[in-house]
Formats: sequence, structure tokens, C-alpha cells
Amino acid sequence: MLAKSVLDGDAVLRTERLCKNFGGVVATDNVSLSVRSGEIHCLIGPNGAGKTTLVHQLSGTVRADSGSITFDGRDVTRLSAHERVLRGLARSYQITSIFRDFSVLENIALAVQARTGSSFRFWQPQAAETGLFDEARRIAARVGLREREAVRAASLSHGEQRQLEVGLAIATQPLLLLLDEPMAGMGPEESDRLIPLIHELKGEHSILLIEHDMDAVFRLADRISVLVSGRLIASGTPEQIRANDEVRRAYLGDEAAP
Amino acid sequence: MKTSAIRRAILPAAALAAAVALPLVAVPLGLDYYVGFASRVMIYAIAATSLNLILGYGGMVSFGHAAFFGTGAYVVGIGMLYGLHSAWLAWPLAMAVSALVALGIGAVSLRTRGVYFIMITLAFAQMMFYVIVGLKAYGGEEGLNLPHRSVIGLGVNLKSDEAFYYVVLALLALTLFLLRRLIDARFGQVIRGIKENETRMETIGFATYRYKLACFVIAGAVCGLAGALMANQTQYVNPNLLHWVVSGDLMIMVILGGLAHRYGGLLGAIVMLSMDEAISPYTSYSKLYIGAVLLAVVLFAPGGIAGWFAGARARTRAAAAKTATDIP
Amino acid sequence: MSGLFLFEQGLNGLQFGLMLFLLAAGLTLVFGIMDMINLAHGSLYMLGAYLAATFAQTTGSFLAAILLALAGTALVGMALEVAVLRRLYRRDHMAQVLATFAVILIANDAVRMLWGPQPLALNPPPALAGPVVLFPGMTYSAYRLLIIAVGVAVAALLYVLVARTRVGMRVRAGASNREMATAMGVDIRTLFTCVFGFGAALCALAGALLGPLLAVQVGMGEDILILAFVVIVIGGIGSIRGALVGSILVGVVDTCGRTFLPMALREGFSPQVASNAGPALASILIYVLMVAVLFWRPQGLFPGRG
Repeated sequence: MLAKSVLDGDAVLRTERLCKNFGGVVATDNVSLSVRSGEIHCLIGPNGAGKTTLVHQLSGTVRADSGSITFDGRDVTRLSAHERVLRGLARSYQITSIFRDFSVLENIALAVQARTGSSFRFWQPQAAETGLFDEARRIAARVGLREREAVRAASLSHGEQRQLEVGLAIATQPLLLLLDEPMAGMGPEESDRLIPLIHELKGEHSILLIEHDMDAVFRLADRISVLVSGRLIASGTPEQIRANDEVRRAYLGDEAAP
Repeated sequence: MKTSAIRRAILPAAALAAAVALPLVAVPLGLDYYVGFASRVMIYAIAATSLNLILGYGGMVSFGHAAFFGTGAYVVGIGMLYGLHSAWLAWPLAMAVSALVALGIGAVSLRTRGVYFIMITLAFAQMMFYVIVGLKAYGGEEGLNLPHRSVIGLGVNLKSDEAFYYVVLALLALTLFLLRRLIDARFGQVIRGIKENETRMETIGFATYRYKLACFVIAGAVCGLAGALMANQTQYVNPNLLHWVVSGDLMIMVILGGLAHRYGGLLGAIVMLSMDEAISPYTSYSKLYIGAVLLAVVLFAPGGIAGWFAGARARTRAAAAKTATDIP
Repeated sequence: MSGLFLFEQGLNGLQFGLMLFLLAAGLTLVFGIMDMINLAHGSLYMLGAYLAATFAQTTGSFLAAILLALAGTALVGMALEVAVLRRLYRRDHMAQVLATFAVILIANDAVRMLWGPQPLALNPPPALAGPVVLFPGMTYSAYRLLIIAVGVAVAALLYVLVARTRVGMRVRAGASNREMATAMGVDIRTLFTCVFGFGAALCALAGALLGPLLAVQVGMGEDILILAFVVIVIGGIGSIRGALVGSILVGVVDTCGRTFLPMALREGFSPQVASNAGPALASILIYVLMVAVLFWRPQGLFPGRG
């Protein structure tokens, strides 16, 4: 099946011929994909395919060279990262990026703070804002960190830090979650806890999930897109992808390459 | 909960009481010199505290903070040339002008990071230094003498070193108090978050540039006040107030006292100026010893004095907990 | 204002720029490879000048003085690296700034202790004291020509060293991937110490050569250090090519600015304004240049690291 942009009425995120070059290396090659409202869309591909670079462009951390990104019906290609978050596009990081010196609760409270009123407040202590911390507590419980809410983030186990990553993303109450390999570095037990959580989130958020773990992918995905060397080579339901020859070839072929 | 809060307030309260008592004790003993010395320490403490806000809490390594110090001082000095004597007008004006300068420097510099930020803040401070040296009308290299200190009225004459001392003390206490409220407030949390992980702050939804700029402007304004007070203290302003050596001195104070600690600026000013004062009579090579101490602190005690105390508190707590569980 | 005068000022700018390059090269190497901001670089320059002045007195030979100054400063530099700077590689930039600022304080007072507060005299070799005829109608100081020649030679040497030799390759390998290079048998620590020693020698060379032209005094390092940092920011951190282009640019702009700006101002404004504003404007010209370059190219002209 050839990649083609899906002109869907209820696509919450759509990219059109997105391109990114890094000094001669083509990281993103005319990628046109869409994420439908309410679905879990998995993006898979071999190492170095450019998945994280694509996520950077979607979240606004990196500017695409050409092409467009439409989110919730509006063009966000030129918007900065924080503006996209305020529109409802949140992400989590493949390499854990949390506030190590703050407690779990303070981490999440900060994310909640971003969307609840101005932070140009200089007098009232933030720690006294019960509304903020009640919400943070709720989210911490949601991602399974209830018992560890007062622990300093740097002292959390790797798996718990990954849970916090997801927590930070959902704290902004996004329309769309970009989850970049949320289970990176997790053992099978920890992954097994995160999968049902992601499934639960499906009701409230649309999700674009980058993942390597094929088991998780086929358990969670409504649709799958395959990225190889910056190019989208296939996009469709799990069955269609499983049956796709080019995908099998690209994956197996690329797995053998250095 | 309450008893620990009281315990934590004892040391600062005692320090405040000692500070209030100092002139009352020193003057009768003929040690008036130390009233002036203490005023100088407190003025630098205000300046260092303002730097601690952007450097310690905000992680912005500015090597041009002296620019605001000098600006505040010169506003007062030049103001007197034009008949502006009232402290109620000159000092807020010094803060406002410094805030404006900080807005200009910050707006450009904060678009850069890392060493570029350090260099560009240094560059702006140096530029201002050279411009002021060139302003022969306002003293140029020689500087400007102030005919008298700012006028406060209300029956208080700042000509008296004791009166000036109490005014500076009040302003220092106010600065420390307001800084504490700022850091604990939403704004302070954002600034601390930005220092910790700026990219993440953006992808949580914060326009980090705006907060950094606001922080920079606030710090600039407070440092401008310190400069205004300095002009009053010495009744003399000269371009060296803007020299990068002063920026370096302020940075030394912050790191000696303790980065991101609410009394870091104060502790650092006390230690650095006291060291200088104590060593100077015996050797003209005081900077050598100060340099050695600074080096030792950076290499072996990066938390500064406040950090060392915090570590000591944690160690005694851990030891106490250990003995508590040793009950057979 | 004759073309010859312009040419002469240009040569002066080139000469100063090449000496700046000696400092900037060491600075950008250390920064690019070890990711370390080293403010003490200026102190090594000062030490080089002081050692050269002292040895010139004792040996009577300018050449011997320079060689001894190079050796002495390189040794001190390497000792400094082993004792202090090594501990800073893993630290953040602010810690490096503060620690090396402390070294400046210590160095200045130490030099003052050893040599006294008065500036030292350092004279160019008598053979080069006079002018040389470049072409009919144009003479130029022989000594300044020597400086230019040395500067060009060092630039060529550096290019060959870094780009072509095995040592250069090891240095670059160590920079991009410390662990990998160590695994492959490159002794990173010794390598870095040697790189630093080499940078120190370059500083000493600049200090010794500029000594006769500028004053050999305490604090001489700081002024030129700022210029060197401006150079590497303009040129791009980690790039030797950038350091060369940047230092010549800065050298020429600074020298010509100081000469021509007051003259230009006198054309348009009163002599009072010109004498006040001229030097001030000339001093800030370099910083304006840096800010302008950063606006256009935030990573400098030749971003070396990546």
C-alpha cells in the first residue's frame, strides 16, 4: 500500500508533505500522515528512521523546512512549542525530560499551572494553591504514582520516571498526545502496567504513539504508520500493515543493516 | 510543624536583632567605622541578592550585572547635578532606569544561551562602561562627586551614618522578604523550572522567554536600587562601578553565600567583604587569598556557605535519626 | 588621509589580529574540545610577557627569552590543568567561569608579589628596531613585520597539525567521543594536558611578542582576554578557521576604529565632541560588531562544534 494523505473529516492532526534536512541528510521526506480523532495511531520504523525528529517537528521543538501541520483544523506550522501546547498538543520524551529537583507532585503541578491562569503572580505562595495540587494528585494517581507523589523525581526508578513523563503530558489536558517511546528502557513488568494506562487514555485524548515494542503496538494500535529513512512507506490498520510486503522487506532488511 | 518553623526563624531573627543593635553598640565604643562598613556590606548584599535571583534561581549566568549597579548610582549622581535631591524621587527613578536598561539588554541577550549569553551580557556592560567614561560632562574617568546624600525628609538626615545605616537595613530586609515571596509564588516556581529544564517548560506550555525577561528586569531594578544606595554611601560615582570586575565580585558573593538560597547574597557579601577587610591590613595581596578561597569553594563546596549549612543540618538530622533507632 | 596611511593601519590591524589569534586559537580549542570556558587564558599571556621580559634581561637575547618564556608558561599551564582545570571539565559553565576567575585573581596578585607593581620593560631585538622598506614610499616597522610573519607561520602550523596529523586526529576524536577514543587507546587525559600546554605556549608567544608594543603589567591579560572571547564568539566556538577570521576582523576593526573614528568625527562634529566620543565609540565598536554578528549568525561565522 502506498503512503497517501488521508483526507479525513475528523483528523485531529494532519501533516502535509513535511520535509526536514540536516546538512544534507534527509531526516523527514515528504511525510503526510493523519491522526484521527479518538484513535491510537502508532508510528513504527527501524532505528534512525527519523521518528523522533518527526515528533520534534510536530511539537514545535524543531522547525520543518517545508510542508504544513494542521492541528484541530488550524495551521500550526509556524507556531512555537508553547503555543502548540496551549492549543492542546502535548508530548512526552523518549529520553526522560522531567524536573529532577522537584517532587512528583511539584512536577505535575507545574504542568497544571501552565494552563490555569497567569503565572505572573509574585506574592501568593504557589504551594498553598490546593486546587493546583488536588489536580496534580489526581493525575499522579492516574499514572500510578500515588504512593510516590512526595518523592524527588531524581530518586524515582526509571520506570516511575517514564510514568511521570506521561503524567506531565496529560496534565496539560491535551487534545492530542505525542508519546515518544513511553516504554523506553522499561522491563516487561513495567511495560505491562503502562499499556492499560495508554489504552485508558484513549477515551479522552487522541494519541500518536511512537513505539518499538511490537507486542505493545499491536495490542494498542487502531492504525499504524511505518517510517523508513524519513519516508512514510505504509499507513493502515494493523492487519493491513502485517500483510504488507514492503513493510516486511524494509523492516527485516533494515534490521540486518548496521 | 510549627516548632520547626520557629526554629528556622531563630537564626535570621537573631541576625536582624544584632544588625539593629550594631550602631548602638559600635558608636559608643568609638567603632563608627564599622557602621559605614556594615552599610557597604548590606548594599552589596542587595546587589548580590538581585544577582542570585537570575543566576542562582534562574540559571542565567550574566556577566554584566554591574551595568545596573552603575546605572542606579549614576542616576542619583547625575540627578543631583540637575537638582534632583529627594530620595523619594531619585531612588525609584534609579530603579526605573535600571529596569529599562535591563529590559533592553535582556530583550537582546535572552535570545542567546550558554556562553553566548555570558559574552553578550558582558559586552553590553562594557559598552556602557566605555560610554560613561566618554561622558566628560558627568565626570568621565574621574567620576562625579555628590555634594550630599539624598534627602529623605521626615526629620531624618542621611548625613548621619547611623540614619543611613538603618535605611539601608530596612531596604535590605524588605528586599529579602519580597524575594522570598517571589520565589515561593507561581512566578518563582516557573523561574526555577526554567533553570531546571527549559525545553520541558516550553512543552508544558510556558513562554519561557517572557518569564526570563521579567526576572531579568526585576533583578536589574533591585540592583539599581543598590547602586543608588552606593552612590549615597560613598557620595561618589565613577565608571568603575560598571566594570566587569564588579560583575565578577557579585558572582563571587553569590556562589560563596550559596546559589538559590534566600540568604545567599547576604552571606556572600558578608564573607567576601569581611575577608577583604580582615586581610587587607596585613597584606596588599588580599585578592590572592580571596581567589584561593573562591577556588576552594567552587571545587569542593559548590553549595557555598548556605549549602554547607544545609548539608550540616541534614547530617545532624541523619545522625539523630540513627541514634533514635539504636534504642535496644 | 593617504592610501599609504590606510595600508599602514591595515597592517597594524593585521598584526594585532594575528596575535589575538594566538590567544583565540588556544581558547577555542579548549572550549571546543573540552567544553570549558577558561578565563585564566589571559593570565598565561601575562605570564609569558613577564617571563620574556625577565629572561631578556638575564640572557640578553630576545630569541632565548621567547623560547624560555614559551617553555616556562607551557609548564605552568600544564600544571594548572592537572591541578585545577581537570576537575572542571564535568562541571557547568558557571563553575568554570568562577573557578578560572579565581585563578585570575590569584595570578594577578602572585605576579605582583614576584615582580612588583611597576610595569616591566621589554625591548625588541636591536636588529629589528628600525623600519623596513616594503615598497618605494612605504616603510613599516621591522618588528611588526616579524610579528605578522610569526602569526602567519603559527596559523599554517596549526592547520597542518589539526587537520593533517595523527595527533590532530586524536584530538578531534577525543573531542567528539571521549569514551570511544579512550577505548581505542587514546590517553585522553594526557592528550588534553598537552593540548592545554600547547595553548599556553601560544599565549606566551603572543605576550612576549606584544610586550615591546604594549605594556608588560599586571592586569594586561584581562583586556585582551575579553577581545579573545569576542573573537571566538564571532568566529564560532571550536573553529580554528573561525578564530583566524574573527581575530583578523577584530584586530583590523579595533585598530582602524581607534585611529579613524575620532578623525571621522572631527570632520562632522566639534573637536570637543570628537575627543570625547571618539575613544568611547572606538572601544565599543568591537562589542557592537559581536552583537551584530550574533544577530545574523547566532552560532558565529563558522560553527565548529556539533
